[in-house]
Amino acid sequence: MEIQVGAILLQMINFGIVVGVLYFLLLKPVKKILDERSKKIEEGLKASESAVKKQEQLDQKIKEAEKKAQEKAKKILDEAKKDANKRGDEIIADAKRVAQEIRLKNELEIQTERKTMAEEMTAQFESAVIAVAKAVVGKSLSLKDHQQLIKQGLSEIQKAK
Amino acid sequence: MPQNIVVTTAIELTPEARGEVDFAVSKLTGESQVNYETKVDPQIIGGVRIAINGRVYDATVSAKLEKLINQ
Repeated sequence: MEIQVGAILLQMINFGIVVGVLYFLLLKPVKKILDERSKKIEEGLKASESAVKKQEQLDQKIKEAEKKAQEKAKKILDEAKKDANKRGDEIIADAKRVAQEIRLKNELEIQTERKTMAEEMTAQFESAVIAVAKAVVGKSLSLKDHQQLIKQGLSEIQKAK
Repeated sequence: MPQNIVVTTAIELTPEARGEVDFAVSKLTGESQVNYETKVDPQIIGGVRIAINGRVYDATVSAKLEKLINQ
């Protein structure tokens, strides 16, 4: 078998041309696309890092805001408790005062009622005694007794003057 | 000056009692001649009450009884 050097050279030149064409027509655009993609990924990563950082900052701010809100809420709650306690004390004091006033008023009413009842009983008793005395004494007095009583009465009146 | 005098007794005054009342009223008013009105009120039981111009001298049995009870 005879080696054809010319054909080999021609084949090598053809291969070189194909490689050159492929390099310029295929490899270069692909590389460009890959570079762009890499760039985009890098940008995406950077954006992601930035977003993460922003998220962290935001979380931090949220935490601070929550903490402040909690402190504020606690303060408000404490003040509300203090106010409620104060108001409660005032209500209790008012209730005690009103109860005391009612008690005193009732005692006064009871005392007044007792006094009135006692006076009424005394008056009724006096009336009864006088009525009985009048009935008993009046019937038993003779004319002479009346004369004597009038004489005695006049004597007392003159002495009293 | 005329005086408003009322003498109250439990029974009608006898002439003897009227004389004693005249004497007592004269001494009370300071006048020798006095006119007075007489009233009979059995409620006073006995004794006499003399009212001179609103001032009352009460020597009745009922007044004494009331005084006794009030003590």
